[in-house]
Amino acid sequence: MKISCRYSDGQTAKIYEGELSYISGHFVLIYNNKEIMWTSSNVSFEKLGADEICLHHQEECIYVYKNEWENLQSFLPPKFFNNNERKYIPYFVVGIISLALIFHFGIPALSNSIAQIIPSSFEKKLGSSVAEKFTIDSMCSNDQRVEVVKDILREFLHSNENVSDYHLFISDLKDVNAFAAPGNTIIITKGLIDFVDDPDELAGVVGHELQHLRGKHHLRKIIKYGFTSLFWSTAIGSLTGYIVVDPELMKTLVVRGYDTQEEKESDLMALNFLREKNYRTDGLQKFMKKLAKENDSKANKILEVVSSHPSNEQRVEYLAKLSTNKGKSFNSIINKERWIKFKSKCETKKAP
Amino acid sequence: MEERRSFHFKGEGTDLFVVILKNIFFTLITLGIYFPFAKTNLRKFFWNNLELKGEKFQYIGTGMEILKGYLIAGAVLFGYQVIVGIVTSILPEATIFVVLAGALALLFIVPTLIFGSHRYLLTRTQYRGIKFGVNPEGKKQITIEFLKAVILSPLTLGLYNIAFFFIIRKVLLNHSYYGNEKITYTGDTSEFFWKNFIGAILSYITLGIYFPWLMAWNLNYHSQHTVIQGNKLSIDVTGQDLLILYLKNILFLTLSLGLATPWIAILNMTFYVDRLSLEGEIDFDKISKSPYEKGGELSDGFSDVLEVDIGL
Repeated sequence: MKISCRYSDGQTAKIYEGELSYISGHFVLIYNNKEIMWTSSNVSFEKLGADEICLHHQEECIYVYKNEWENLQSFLPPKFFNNNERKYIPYFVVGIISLALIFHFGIPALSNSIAQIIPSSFEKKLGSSVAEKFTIDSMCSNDQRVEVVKDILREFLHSNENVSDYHLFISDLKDVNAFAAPGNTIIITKGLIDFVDDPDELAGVVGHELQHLRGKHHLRKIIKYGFTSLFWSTAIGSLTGYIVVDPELMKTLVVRGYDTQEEKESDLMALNFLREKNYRTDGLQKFMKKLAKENDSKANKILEVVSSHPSNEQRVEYLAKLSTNKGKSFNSIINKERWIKFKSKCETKKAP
Repeated sequence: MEERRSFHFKGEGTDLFVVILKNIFFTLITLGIYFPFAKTNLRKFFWNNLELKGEKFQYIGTGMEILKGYLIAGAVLFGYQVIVGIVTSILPEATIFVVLAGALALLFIVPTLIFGSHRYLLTRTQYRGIKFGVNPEGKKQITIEFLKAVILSPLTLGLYNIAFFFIIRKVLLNHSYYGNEKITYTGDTSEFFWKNFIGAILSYITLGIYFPWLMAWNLNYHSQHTVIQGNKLSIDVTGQDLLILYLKNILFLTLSLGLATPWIAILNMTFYVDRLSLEGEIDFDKISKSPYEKGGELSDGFSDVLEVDIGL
């Protein structure tokens, strides 16, 4: 069986017309009244587009059109088969979807397991670097504020816990917010202090942040971000995703909040604690209601649709069902005088 | 007329789709190690489907070469970070000097990579069994031009960049060879600069509408000034053609949520290649092996890691 081909000797750009056959393990080419013979084991096969192949031997190449090649193919070893890669489309699609599913469900599960085994000494280091990012410009020198938060926090602690295990910071950010950061760190903004009307509201917020710390939501989020970033960077072939999660990025992640399930879990755990200690549980709900009113803009409503974070309205809704004004008030711990001091203007000093 | 349209692109969207799927799949399961091979697969697809006068181009680069570039670049960057770390902890005041030394090194590494990447691509491109090549002497000129740009670009508020990219193209092409045949670029820097300077202002004033006309002028200018064996390239593209192409790209990409990317890539490639032609005939009998058919082994991977890509 002979097929027509073209031949390049790799020394000049001249292309010769020729005839190719396959005889007992050898390719035999006749061109320009010459004959050359290549042992098939020394020949490599390369597809050139969809309609042509090149048989390489060192710098030489024999070009054959696909339709001609098919005539010869039945005599050849499998490595010279002109596979149609289109038939692999379904396998690749299923493979990629499976990988995406594994990463979608596997990453959160893996992040959760890793978060549980991270040593507390390492977590503390992370926490102080994140806290630094919040307090780098200035921090409150009015220790009374931190003492008030400590007194509230003490009520939430288990008997084997100590308030000194927690690091409390007041940030001079004007946004109404509180953050749980690695290393048992709780950061409360100046904006939140101005915003809360009574110690019960503050207690609701502190209890909520404490549950984020207990559930290691902050670590889960940072680890999940690291894996997801690695996954997508790998998928799109960008090397930037391999950059380590640095304190600035961790700060951003902490500020961005948690997903619906984690927020709800923290809300409900905080309410349970208050209930167990016989405190009134409507502080957090009152706080969220005010916040919802404050953020009641069209833009926020549109953002809520695409956000993984629960909306303030949704939180107010389920908190209202579970909260009650029965029980003790935190006013019994934070008297009026201390509360006024807590709400007083923060004297700032440069961070050390 | 048919003879003038001597370039042809034969790739199909479905085949490119397979290549992309395969690349994504293997890159994911190997956690990125396959990426250099994926890049090579894509290049092979585009090169091996490009024809000039009935003969296909061939891409003969390998993923392993690019991977080696990645590994060496990673090792160099890691080594530098280690040095910075050691100096910072032992002698903090000296950190600034290490950082400055790094910045100074970059002034010479970047032009080397610009030249090396071009050299890598050309020496891995073959047509009719003959490789392209690049005369290594061009590297010195690229370095000088790069250092000039580092000074002049800030002084001219970035305007010098228009001339810089043009000069780089000119130097690279004027040091390029197909086999033993030198490629020449005859464009004039000041003519190109003023046309692009005015074009940029017009694009700004017309809210981008003039941009396709400027790009069409550039394509025509570059091809008409690229000469091999006395034969000029030419491309038959107008601003209106480009405007329609850009609109098609936006429309198809948006409607398909990006899934039509392979078919859009083919549409674009076919658009440019089918309008490109070589005026006259090349005497292939006179063309033999390039004296500069090797080099640039590590540059491609290294450029990726340092993100050096001036998009010529």
